[in-house]
Amino acid sequence: MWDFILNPMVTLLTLMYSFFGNNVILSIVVLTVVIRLIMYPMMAQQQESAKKMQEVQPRLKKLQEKYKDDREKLSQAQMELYKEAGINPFGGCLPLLLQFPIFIALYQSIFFALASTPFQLVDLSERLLIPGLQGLIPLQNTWLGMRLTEAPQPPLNPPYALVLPLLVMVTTWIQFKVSQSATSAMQSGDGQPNQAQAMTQSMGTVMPIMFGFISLSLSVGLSIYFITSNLVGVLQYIPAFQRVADRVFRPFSRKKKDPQGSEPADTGKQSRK
Amino acid sequence: MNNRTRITRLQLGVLLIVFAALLAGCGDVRHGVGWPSMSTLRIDDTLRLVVAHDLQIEVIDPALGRPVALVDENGATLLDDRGEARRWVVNGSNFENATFFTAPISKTEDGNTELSFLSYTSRILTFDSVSAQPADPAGITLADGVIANVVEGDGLLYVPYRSGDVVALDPVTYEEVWRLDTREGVWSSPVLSNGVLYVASIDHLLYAVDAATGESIWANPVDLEGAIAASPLVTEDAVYVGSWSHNLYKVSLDGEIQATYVGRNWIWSTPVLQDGTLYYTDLSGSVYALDPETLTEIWVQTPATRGIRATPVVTDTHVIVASRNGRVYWLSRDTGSTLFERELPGTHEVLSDMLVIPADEASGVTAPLLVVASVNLQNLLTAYTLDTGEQKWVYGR
Repeated sequence: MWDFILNPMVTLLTLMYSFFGNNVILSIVVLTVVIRLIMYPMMAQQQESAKKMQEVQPRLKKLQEKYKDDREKLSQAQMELYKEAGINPFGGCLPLLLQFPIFIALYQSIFFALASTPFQLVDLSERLLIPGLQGLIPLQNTWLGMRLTEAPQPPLNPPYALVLPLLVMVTTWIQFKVSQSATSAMQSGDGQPNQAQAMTQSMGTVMPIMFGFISLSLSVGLSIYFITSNLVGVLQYIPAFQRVADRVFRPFSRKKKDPQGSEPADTGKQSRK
Repeated sequence: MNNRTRITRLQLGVLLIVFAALLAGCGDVRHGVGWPSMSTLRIDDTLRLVVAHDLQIEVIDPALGRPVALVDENGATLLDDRGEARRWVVNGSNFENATFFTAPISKTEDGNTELSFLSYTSRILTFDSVSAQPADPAGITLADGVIANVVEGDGLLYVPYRSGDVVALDPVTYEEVWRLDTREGVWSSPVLSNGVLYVASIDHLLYAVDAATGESIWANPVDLEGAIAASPLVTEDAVYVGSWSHNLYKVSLDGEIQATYVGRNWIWSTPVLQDGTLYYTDLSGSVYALDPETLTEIWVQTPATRGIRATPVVTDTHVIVASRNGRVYWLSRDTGSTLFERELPGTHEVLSDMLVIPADEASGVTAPLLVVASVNLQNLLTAYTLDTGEQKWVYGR
């Protein structure tokens, strides 16, 4: 099912391996960075959508109170509010849904490209789309004394490989922290913490631990992918990076009129903090 | 529903989505190492089929297609707790999860035959051929795991290691006599011919060494521009070998490439020379017939929709190939056209080399059989008559 995304990704990773002098780690890092950057416009749109949703939360709550006994009127009023505020209700989840298959394909492509057993290599033979790449197989799968295709735990790898799942945990946590402060929610009118903020806070504890444990069982190569992906994720919340990225990847983002009637503001260049 | 409950459910929902995404990421990736290995040997003068795959080894009666019943010294069948005949099955989970993908080494002493299996998990485990009892449950530790058959000859055992190198071991003490260094794993059996050991490695190189001393015969190993995962074919005057570069090479015994044939995909089978024609297969699903002198093409056919990893079986009338699409094809030797084909039960892919079992009346095999192994445990082995493709039996675990 994923082949139409996965095979090009495996091919691209192998091509990069050739380009970077048979360096698997550099290939994984660069491919991850490139894919994350290509996905940046979708991620930025998702963030903007989430921020706009948070801004209208107080008004939404009032509507929910007002129409608590009339679902149809509530639904209608909500849609009018979204329209007025320029919110696409699917603006948050649609980019996420589009990104998911890409990231799964990237993650799987590392599995396939780092094939090291006969079973895995015979499967890889069907995924390389460019002639000539077979001369690179099998890819060099050791780095700093670690076997990239094995899990980062003894006896499959030296004890120091355990640093990698730790780094996965730490970078996952940092990314959550950064994203949490970037989308820090406004409290609702009754002084209760915003629901999304509360959820994010506890997820920020659970997810790093979960990813850390998962990376203990998966290959070293995938730990490198997770770490790189998390670091790029952190970068994407830095305003200076956002300014540059918006100019490069979202040069045609629509200008929106300032509600006070002054000169229109360029929403693409505004900080999402 | 209060806020806290809603938050908890949302958290669980997100965690489930992330977990499902990670699982989906692993879904298409095949786990496991390799495919079944089949071989034949004689136990008490009776022909037997040995299959080794992953955690299990069985000795199969080739006439009936099921594991041989174990007997005591009086010839009485041994029974298990349920009163059923105990069968010749060894489970690697009883030996620290040893996994097996190679044919055994057979040793007969004082009328007793022992089978020694070199495991992927770096051990040599030896079993009595009649009782299936282990000689030593701990086995002997090897320097590395093994995924290709060992070669015996010239008083030594030549062992190809999965992570790299070929070692010559003393067959009694298993001590290392010499070692050939390779840069990557050796996933095919070396070939011993006239005192020279030819080794093909997935490091793209073909080596030739003195079988007694391990010294290189050639100034440099031959670079075949792609991993070599199948044993070469060695004849009186040349070595024929295919690599993942798509090319089939004819290499002189001096280590010079004399001819190259450009195929369509990775070659993972050993060429077969019969009656002046060279046959081989590749992962495009194609079968090739070439002139062995010049590697000029005689015919090429693509009977299969998926790759053919297995070495072809060539008989007087047919070239028989088995494909990853779960089918076995009988082709005309003259033209390569498909004469008939058979679909394996369950249509599971074939990656193992096929095995021909000759007719042996004493063993109950009335006509030559072709045994095909799939990767599916429920339909692990299927036996057909060699010439007509009539299905005789199916064995599953």
